[in-house]
Amino acid sequence: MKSPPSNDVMNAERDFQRAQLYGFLSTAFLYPQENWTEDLPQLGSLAVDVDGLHELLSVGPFDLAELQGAFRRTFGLANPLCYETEFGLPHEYRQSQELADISGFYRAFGFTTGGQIRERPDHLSVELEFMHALALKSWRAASQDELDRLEICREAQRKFLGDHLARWLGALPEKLALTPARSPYPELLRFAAEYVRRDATALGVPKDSAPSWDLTPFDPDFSCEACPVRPE
Amino acid sequence: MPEVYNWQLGRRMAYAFEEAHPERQFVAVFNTNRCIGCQTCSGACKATWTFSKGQEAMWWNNVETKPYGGYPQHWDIKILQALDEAHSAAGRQAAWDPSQSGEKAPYGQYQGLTITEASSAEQQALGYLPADAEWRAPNFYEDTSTSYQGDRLGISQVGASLPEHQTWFFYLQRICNHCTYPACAAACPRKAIYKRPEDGIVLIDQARCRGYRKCVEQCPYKKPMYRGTTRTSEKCVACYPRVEGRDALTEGAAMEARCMAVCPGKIRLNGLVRLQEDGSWQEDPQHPLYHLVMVEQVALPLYPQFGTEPNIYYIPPRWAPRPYLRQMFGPGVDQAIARYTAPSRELLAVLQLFRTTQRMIFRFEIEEGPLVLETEVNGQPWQMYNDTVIGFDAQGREAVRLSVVEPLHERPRERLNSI
Repeated sequence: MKSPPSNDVMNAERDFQRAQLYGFLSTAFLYPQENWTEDLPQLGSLAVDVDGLHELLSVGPFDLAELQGAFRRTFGLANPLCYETEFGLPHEYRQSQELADISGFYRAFGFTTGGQIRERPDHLSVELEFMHALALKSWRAASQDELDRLEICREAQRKFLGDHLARWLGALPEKLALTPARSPYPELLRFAAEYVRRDATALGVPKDSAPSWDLTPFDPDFSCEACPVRPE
Repeated sequence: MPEVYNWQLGRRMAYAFEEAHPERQFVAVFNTNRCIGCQTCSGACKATWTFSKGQEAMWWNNVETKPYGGYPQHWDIKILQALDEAHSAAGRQAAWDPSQSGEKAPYGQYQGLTITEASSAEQQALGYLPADAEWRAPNFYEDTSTSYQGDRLGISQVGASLPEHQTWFFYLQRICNHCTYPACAAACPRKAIYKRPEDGIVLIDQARCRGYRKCVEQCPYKKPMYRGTTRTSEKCVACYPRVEGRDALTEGAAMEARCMAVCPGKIRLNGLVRLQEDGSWQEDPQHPLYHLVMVEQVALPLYPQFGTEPNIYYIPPRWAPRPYLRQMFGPGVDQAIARYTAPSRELLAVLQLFRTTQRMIFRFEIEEGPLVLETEVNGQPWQMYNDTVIGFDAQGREAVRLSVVEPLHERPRERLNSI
């Protein structure tokens, strides 16, 4: 007799919805080529009870040119806010190790960055797209009843959220405090941070006790004066 | 919701958009009586359009075994059940009133709810999302018939005879219906689905689609399919380059879709019919599709009660139980089977045109021939004439000429073994 479907299989649809939402967020944090605010009504059914959803749904309306202007004003041309390794590292020399770790996640599942849109592996959109792909893989594995593959995808999501995306995304909304009026990005970022936080909790990711959100210094002080164990 | 006129239902009905009709409409007639379930159509479609990675769940064309089969599994039972529950909740009956039949309502008037009228606030049309497992095979229960009830061993002592067989199945050939009022287009939150003004073909704009699967959910026929490799939904494109006449083979003349043109059973006839501004078919009795659907009324829409006004028509199988067929093809079934079983002189000639040329036929003429058979069908006298039917393509050129009685060519004795 065939055994009844497991909870994982029953929850396959939830993984698909997660994939949809991560996919939307991934696109929305790139320089807008299409008007992503058109898709906002769809978020209502994908993330019903996430804090910040109502505020996000209330933004706009924006046409594409306004959205592009808002993106430029919010993130600026250099766009340093959108890169994980710009935050929380003791000095810039650690960036390469972190980038290698992030890329390692991608390569483990056969993904590389590049293609039509060239961005660094630690860009917010790229990390969100990776979560989109893993959630889609989870949906596929769950709906095919392939529980071992499902667990691999879930474990990768837990680790990636815990080590990277969920660890730094929470700080971004505060960094946008000085954003000029008439921009949907602060609301989008608050919603994204809250959604990722909830997703990480649901997947069982332990909370980072005291993450550092300072900008990664480009010119660290290696002198004895800066040493934390120097004698007083 | 705006109201539109659905001639298959004989009344106005609610639909997401205002009424707007193409100049011509892509239409096909499938003769279920002749299908052998070989899936050549499915293979041709796949070889043409869905051959690459992720193709395994893309059966834009499939042939399924009724009553049990379906792709996705039990699609028709599930949507019929949902519609039935909506009727119960509303205290309505899904009944037809044949007394209302007329020129603009050939099947009478449907007095039940359509899927757009039975939908909830969250949907444009009543629907459901099939589970992934339901898409695993294009013909579940292949060749599985209903069981024989009368004998312990399941063997009939008397055999089977028309009008209804107790043990029965039949093949249902399915592509996108390119509906007049497509539920997929109504459902799409990004307006990525559109109906072409030149030929009524319904397409999904792959650049706009974001894979929300609302079309998969709300198309009652379940013909849009989500493809995980592209993360978009796909569906039958009606081989639109062929319909446009872009294939060099026919020098600009519109061609039938691939699934139609390859059919070894010669069950499909495909073409374009001209529409009037109000969406009704322009009177054209010499057009083979107009003749089959409007004049003889032997070809009927699939589940017209859904209310999307599908444009693929079926000649129903003669041997299946009538209540089942009435549910599937509407109240015109009995008349259609009677006319198909004892076809008129014109109908018999037009039936010869199925799959005899890749060119779409826009007009036919009949040259009368001699009487070759006199017999009785259902207790009534019936004559067969060896008429010649001539089909003309979009440019008015003769595309095909053939007789009702298939010519017999006897190989000369000296060449018996030659190729």
